[in-house]
Amino acid sequence: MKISKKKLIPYFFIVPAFLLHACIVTGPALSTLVMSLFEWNGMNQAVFIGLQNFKEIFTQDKIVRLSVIHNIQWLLIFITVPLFLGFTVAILVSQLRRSQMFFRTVYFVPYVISAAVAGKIWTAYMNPYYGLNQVFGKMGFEKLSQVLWLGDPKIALCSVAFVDNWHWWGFIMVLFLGALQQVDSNLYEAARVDGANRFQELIHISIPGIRQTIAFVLIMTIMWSFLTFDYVYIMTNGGPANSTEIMATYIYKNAFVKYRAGYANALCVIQSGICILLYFFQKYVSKKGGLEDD
Amino acid sequence: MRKFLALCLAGSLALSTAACGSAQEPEKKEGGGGREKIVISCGLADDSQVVVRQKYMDEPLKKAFPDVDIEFKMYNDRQSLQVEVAGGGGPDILALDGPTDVAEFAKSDRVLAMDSYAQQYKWDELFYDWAYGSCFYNGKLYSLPTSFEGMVLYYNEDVFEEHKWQVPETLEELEALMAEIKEAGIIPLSFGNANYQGAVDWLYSTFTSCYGGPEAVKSALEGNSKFTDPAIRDSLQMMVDWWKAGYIGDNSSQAVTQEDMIAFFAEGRAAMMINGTWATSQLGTVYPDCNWDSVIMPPPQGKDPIFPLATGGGWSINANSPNPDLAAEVLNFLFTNYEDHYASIVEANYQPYPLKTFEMEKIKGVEEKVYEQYEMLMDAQTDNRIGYCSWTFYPSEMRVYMNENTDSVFLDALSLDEYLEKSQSYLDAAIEAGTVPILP
Repeated sequence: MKISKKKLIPYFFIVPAFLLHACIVTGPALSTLVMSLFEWNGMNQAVFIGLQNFKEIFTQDKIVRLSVIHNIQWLLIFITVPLFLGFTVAILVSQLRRSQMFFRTVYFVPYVISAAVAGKIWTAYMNPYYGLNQVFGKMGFEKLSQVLWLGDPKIALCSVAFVDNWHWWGFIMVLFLGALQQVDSNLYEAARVDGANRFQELIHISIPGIRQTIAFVLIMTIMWSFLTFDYVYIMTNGGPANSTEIMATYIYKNAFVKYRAGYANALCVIQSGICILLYFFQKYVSKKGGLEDD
Repeated sequence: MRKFLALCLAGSLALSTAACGSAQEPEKKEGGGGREKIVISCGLADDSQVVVRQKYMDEPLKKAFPDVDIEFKMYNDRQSLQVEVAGGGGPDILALDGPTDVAEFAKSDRVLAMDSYAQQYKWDELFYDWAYGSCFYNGKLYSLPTSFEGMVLYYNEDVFEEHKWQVPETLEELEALMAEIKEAGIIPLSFGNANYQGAVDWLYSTFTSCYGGPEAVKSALEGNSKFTDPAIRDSLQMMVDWWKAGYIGDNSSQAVTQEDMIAFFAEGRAAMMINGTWATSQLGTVYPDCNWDSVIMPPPQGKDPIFPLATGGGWSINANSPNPDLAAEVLNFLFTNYEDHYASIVEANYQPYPLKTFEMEKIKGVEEKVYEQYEMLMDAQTDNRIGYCSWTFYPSEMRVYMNENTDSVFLDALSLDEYLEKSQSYLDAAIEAGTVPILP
């Protein structure tokens, strides 16, 4: 069967990216799945042990359960705070004319700071002996000045999440701002003519107009919440007393500190499985809620 | 024209993929002009540290091996080195963190057994028996110890003078003093592990050896008694009690970094600090104005002071090295180049190799306090008043568990008994597998 040139040419463009994807993503992902069935310290000859790693994860390892719970807490924080903050500020900034670029830049700056740098800076800010606690003390907030932001197991995860939020929400704001600017302004005029107030414009025009962006941001936030690593690793390394241990840091420790690369691979498979489930769940909820993405 | 451009674009994409997919150029083991090459791994160092290293190691190696290209390659951390070695590459000589790490590399046949070289160069006569013995795994020699160090109690002389406090000589005096120090609004013992959780091993190594007793620790590690026995349990209970009373780290050690720990001690915010002999280097370079001194941890009344010892790291030969004989020769040179080694200790605060032939007179030029620390080390070895630091003498999995869970005990997230039982279970597994390091 003769295949026309026209049909072949598109593949010339796809194949290189596909090969790259196969080498860098698909291959290692399959390797992770296979190696999760082995006992392997990362350097030696791997020994096949079947589903032993998964058995240990589901029946013995309490830290895995704790890590998943922490990831869920992280998820709940991130699908609310930065989205609400980013959307609200985007609405406000979209009303500005002259100073819009200034505010976009200022709010976006934290996103471009490297996590290593920002994490170290905030660790210093949250030091109980200097930084914010000193400021709170001088302002008369005695109780606040004695808070162990990164040393109290009850609040350490929220403290790190706060920092990651500070880093992340500006990016969300810029995404929403861009989406809001794509909404046809005629719709707003028509609504005003019909007597709609600002709030009604927001509910009936703005939000429906950017629903695909909302869906995109939601799915990204949900998946990244389970893949997050940098701020926790830099600021607390899973401590104190495992109170900030998340899947990614626990995987890292198993792979490189405990020399249990096979077990770490199994944890990666679990982590990926959770992300996939959440993706489909979010797709279903988004469709039902009218936030369908193309 | 458009078709031509499209084909060029597709072609360049394909070429870039081919470039990415091609096998990484194998590390050249031949230097320029066909010379042999040896690569030695080392930790990250800033420019000033590199200059110092060049003076005491690079240049002497160049002179001793004029026909060999010898390169020091820096690694961010052990993990980057591990990944490279696991991939079949890596430097010829690996600088590893200590016997417990070496054991993992040895298990995986990633480092060479050096018994034949040991015979050739008589390394067993070179090193202290306890340090040399810690480098064996499954009866074979896999590394050579690069430093020896111990845990001491530092005190800030200015703070002590200001408050007219006396340096404690017994445990009882230390406990009374810490209460007084706390009353004065000063942190008794500076400690922080926010950026390095594993620093707790300095604490539990010190308490188990100094207050549980080295005999109890040795007996437990050799399987003749248990880590859960009263001697060790009581010593760790004391450590937990001190932490909860605010004596160690002011109840906030998990929020304080290692750098802060030393800063608080140097600035006088803390009066004392349990730290290793390696801390003198940081105190000397970063806080030259800090007036400090150190003593062995004060023993209980009527008992001898114990000096918990460790080897700070080890050099091993990469099993992938194409030049293992040359690597062994280079290693032997490094350990027998006494002149530059003594100079590096005196002039750059390098840590000494644990050599039997080490002559204290040769390092008389070091700061007096540092010299006194080394004298304490030597005396403790001579009098057999040595204890066991976990990073040299505990099995790897046991140590990792204890490092990760000591904070949980401090914060009441885990009971001491559960912690000790779990630690014992890891120790039992290691004893059965024969992977407990040799104890002196």
